[in-house]
Order: sequence, then C-alpha cells, then structure tokens
Amino acid sequence: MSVHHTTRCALAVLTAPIIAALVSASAFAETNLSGFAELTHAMRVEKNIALDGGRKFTHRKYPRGDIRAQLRLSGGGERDEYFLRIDMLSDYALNRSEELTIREGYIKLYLADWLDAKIGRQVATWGTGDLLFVNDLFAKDWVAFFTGQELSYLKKPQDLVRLSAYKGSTTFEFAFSPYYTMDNLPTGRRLSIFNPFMGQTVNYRSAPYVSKRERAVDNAEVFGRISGYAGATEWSLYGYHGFYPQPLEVEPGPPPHLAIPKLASGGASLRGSIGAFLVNVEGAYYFSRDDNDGDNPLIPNSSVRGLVGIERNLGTTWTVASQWFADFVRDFDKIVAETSGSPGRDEIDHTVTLRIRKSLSQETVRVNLFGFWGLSAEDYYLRGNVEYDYSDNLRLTLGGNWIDGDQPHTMFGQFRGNSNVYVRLRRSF
Amino acid sequence: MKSAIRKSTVVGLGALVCAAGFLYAQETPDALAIMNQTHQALYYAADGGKGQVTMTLTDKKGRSREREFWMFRTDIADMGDQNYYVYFTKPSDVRRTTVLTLKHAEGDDDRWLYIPSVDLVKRIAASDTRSRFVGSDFTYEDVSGRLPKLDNNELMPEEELDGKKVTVVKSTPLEPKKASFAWKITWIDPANKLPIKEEYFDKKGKLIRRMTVDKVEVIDEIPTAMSRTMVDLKSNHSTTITFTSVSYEVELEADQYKERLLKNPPASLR
Repeated sequence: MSVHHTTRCALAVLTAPIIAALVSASAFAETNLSGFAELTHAMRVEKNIALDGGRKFTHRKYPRGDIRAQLRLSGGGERDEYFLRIDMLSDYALNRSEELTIREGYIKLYLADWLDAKIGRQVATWGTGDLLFVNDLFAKDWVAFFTGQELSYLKKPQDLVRLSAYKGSTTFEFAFSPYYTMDNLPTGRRLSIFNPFMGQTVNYRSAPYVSKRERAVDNAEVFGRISGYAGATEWSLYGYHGFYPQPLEVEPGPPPHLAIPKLASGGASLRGSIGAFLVNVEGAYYFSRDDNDGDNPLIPNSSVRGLVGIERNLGTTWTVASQWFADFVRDFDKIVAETSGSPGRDEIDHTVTLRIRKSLSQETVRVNLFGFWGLSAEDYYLRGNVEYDYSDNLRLTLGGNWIDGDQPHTMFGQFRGNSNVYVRLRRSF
Repeated sequence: MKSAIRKSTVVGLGALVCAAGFLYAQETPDALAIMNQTHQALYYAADGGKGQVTMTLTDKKGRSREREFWMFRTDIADMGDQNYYVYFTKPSDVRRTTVLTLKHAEGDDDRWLYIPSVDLVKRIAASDTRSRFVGSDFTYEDVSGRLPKLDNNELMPEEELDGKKVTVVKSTPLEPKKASFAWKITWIDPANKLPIKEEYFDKKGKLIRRMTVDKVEVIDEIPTAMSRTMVDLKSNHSTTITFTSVSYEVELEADQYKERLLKNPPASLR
C-alpha cells in the first residue's frame, strides 16, 4: 500500500535536517540514545459475526499482536535541539513485518528570546479534556487506542512547522501542516466497523470506501493558539482551519463512499483549581465550511461542543476525575426533516466520563479505570489497566477494553463486538 | 548558660503536658526560632539555585530503582512562596519529562507535568502533601519542607551525637489529622543549623520513619545537605537523595516558571 511509499518519502524529507544536525553534532553538548522493546498481545473476548463469519469464535483473530522496538535519539546545545523516535514493528496479528515508522523526527530552533520553532514530524497536543478533544484537532490513532497500545500512541504524528512566540506571560502558537493527516480509524481488519451504506457491521472486505485527501498544499492544516495566565488559572483561545479528522461526508457516487469534509473551528478554555478540585471548561464552534447552514444532508452540520471537567486527589494514592461533554448540532430541525423524523441522534449529544486512578506498592503498581458513557447515544466504552513496574526497565501491563452500544452507528456502538483484553511487556534501555 | 535556660523551660513545660498545643509554642519561642532557622537552611538557602539529583529507592529485598533529575528553585520570599522546576533524565522512559511546582506558603500548591511523548501539559490536582514524591519514601512535604509553625515545637535536652553537642527539638503537629506523624524529633547541628537526623513517630509512640543527613558540603559559603536518606521502618524501604553540581546562582526568574519552561528546558540543560 502507499504507507510504505509515503514512509520512505517522509523519511528522506525528515531525516535531512536531522542528519544535518548530526553532522554538526560536535556543537551539541550531549547525544542521548534510549528506547525499548515491547510485546503487545490483545485478544478479543466476544464473538463478532463480522470478523468470525459463520465460524465459531476461535480466538484466532487478534486485534493486536506485535513486537515493537523503539529507538530514541536526541541531543542539544545552547541554541538547538533535535529528536528522533523510530519504531520498528513486527506484526504477527496481521502478518506484516519490519514496518519502519518515524514517530518523531524534528529539530527545535531557539530563534530569539521570544521565538522558537519546532520543525518536522511530531505529536502535538493542546486543550483541557481528558481523552475528550474539543479544540485539539491534531491527528489521533483510534486503532491504537482500542487495541491495547500504550496511551501515547493515541496521538498520531504529524509533519508540522510549529512556531511559538512569547510576550510577557502570553504565548502565541502557530502550527502548519502542508497536507492533511486523517485520524487512524478502524478499517475492519483489527476491529469490525459499521458500514453506513449497508447498515451493518462489517469486516475489511465490506468496508466503505474512503476517498482520501491528496497530500497537497490545498489540503493544508493550520492550527493556532493564544494562551496565558490569570493568576494560576490558565486561559487559551484556539483556532483551526482544515478538515474534519474523520470521513463524515457521504459522496453519493456511484458507488457511494465517504469523504473528508472541510472544517474551521474556534474555541476557548479555562483551567484552574478551586480548593482541592482541579476544574476545566472548554468550548468550540465547529464551522462546517461546505454546509454551515445545514442545507446539505450529506455533510455534517456545524456544531457547538463543550466540556466541563473536575478532578481531585483523595488521600495520598487515589485520584478521581469526571467530565461532561456535549455536542450541540446546529439546524437540527433540518436533519429531522431530511431523515423523515429519524435523525439518528439527539440535538444535544451528551457524554460523561469517569476516571479512577490508584497507586500501590511505592507507586510500582498503578490501577487505571476510565469510562465513557454516551447518555444520548446509549453506548459506552470502559477501559482499564494495571501497570506493574518490576524494575525501572521492565514493565508489565494487563488491561481491557469493553465497548458496547444499543445502536450500530453511534460513537462506541459502531465498535461493539470488539471488546478485548491485552497484555503488554516492555523492556526499556 | 543558654542551654540551662532551655532545659529549665523544658522542665517547666513538663507540667503543662495536658495544655493546648499552641500554649507550648508560646512557652518556647526559642524552639520555633531554631526550627525556622533549620527550615531556612535546608529549604530556602540563598534565593534559589539548582542541582542535579540522584534518587535511589531500595526495597526490603535490596532491589533498587533510580531516578535522576535536575531541580531548579527560585524563592519569591524567605519562608514564603517558592517555584520549583524538575527535569527528569532517568529512567530513560521519563527522560525530558518536567514538573513545575508553584509552592504556596498558604494554600495548595499549583503543579503541572509535561509528558513529551504526547506533548501534553497536564495540570495535577492539589495533592495531599503526604503523597510520595515520584514513588519515593520522601513525601512532597519532605521535599519542599513542612513549615515549623504548623507544629508545636519544644526544645529537648541537648544531646551528644558523634562527639558533637546537638540541639534537639520535638515537634507535634497542631492539626494532628493533617499530619502523617504524631510527633517528630529533630537533631540539629547548632553550627550550621542543618538537621542531622529526624525521627517520626506514630500515635502509639512507634518510630515509623527516619531521615538522616549523610553529607554536608559548603557551597558558595552555604552549608548544604548534599545527601539525605529516608527510611520507612514499616516497609523497610528507603530512599537516598544525593545532590551534585549544586549552585546557588539563580538561573530562572520567578516569572519564568510557566508552560514555556515545561516544554523547553533552560539552555544549561540542552
């Protein structure tokens, strides 16, 4: 597939500045090499008609089974820094081997007292939600998220030019990607998916076709943020111009397929503490650039999204956090009219989350539980794990993902039948 | 002569054992003054500084884990607010992870964590000061200091330790429910005001934790505790913190302790 080709192209483009940096390595105070080898093995715990077909549930289809080696190389000096993170993957679940991915490869330039730049492949995050994203429109990897990979793999690397300028305690950030990066979504191989054209849950053979956006500057993404402090309370304003992170547009065809609609958004957030509670509020307006007035039933309507979160520590080893998230769709009456009264969603879609964290044995054992409940969609997703650090360099993780919903087209309902448990063993060096 | 007065004060206090805690404090202002000096010497030396820290955690089987980080400190006021910045270098998994703490003398601290692998700035809820600092036997309170005024401090009879006369203070929390100990005894070197040893006791009078200062060096004319060990006698787990490359030159301004610093280490660490 094109994955290998693009990887190779990106390799050339991205390694150039890194090699240049390495050549002048004598200028750097320190070069650091580290990494890990990791085995991840996930196993489905329920029968899935789409994946198992008419056969018995045999446990033969693993959503994930891979051995990954990661190498990290970094260095820096007074002026600049570079960072390289390469993953080598041998995937025995999908019978693919020696896949090489550059997860990160960037240089950081300290251009002036008030200006720095981070250029190359990198992960980027902002916003205040806990596993809920309102203003963070950087790419995600939902396959990794649902199949037992370490949480950092939820962030999908992007090729970005990122500039940060500082004035007093205010920070101005700007990020530009010369092409669009779509979220990594289940394709029907590791996890079954819902095909809206067939109205049923399918495997990759019957997956709906998604027309990708070309790697062209017409499809560039622009991200911005201005942030600062009011006392110890953090405020941020966000802006984005690009595309929805997922293929939410229906192209009637023939044959009918999915496409990625245009998006622009603007939002704000606040985060601070009230007594022992950490509180965050965030909101954004999603401007559906091709259909702001909601006239085209094949393109998502504009919407307002928001969340409120609260977190606190209990005693010395417990943390409890909860969030409420709402997606208020514009021109709901038009959706109702277009779908002859069965819109398939509520005007306001509510989701709540709960997180519980507990550490034991000198923090060498950590228990994490996180639940999403779609109050309107009537679906849920519970994820949990226990991490055990045998030593600084050896970590065992046991976890599970429990996904279910009443309807096959909702956020989590579309992945029902894919619940799994996993084991992960990581040796670091 | 002075010690004679102190002794008599202590004897006098013996009769007041049943009285309210704050009364003790009023009766022995010297003890509070001594503890304040010690607190100043251990946590507020100069106006800030930096150092490289190696933290060794050893469990009862003798297995050890190691953390290494740089710590920067800038004081806003003596015995008052302080800003801390921590940049981890070991273990390799957490390399480049940073923590920012705005310590408030009054009220909860503000704390942020930066996780570079996801480029995430996470705000951390105010934690119980008795929580462990990065899984060690030192609590957050041990690392950034417990204000002596939170305790009733009594001067105990002077003792001799390794041939040196030392000041001994017993501190009893004014709000026992908010403390991890029922009382503690501190042995102080009167020459440099630094503690030599601290022992923590529970309600039953059982020794639960012991902190020792293992090494003192004079840096920029300031006596500095270069190595401290905390032993948890209940679990037989111990932690040693060793400082190297200590400097009292204040590299970071107080207003630099912000998100920018979390994501971009100071030039001296690059």
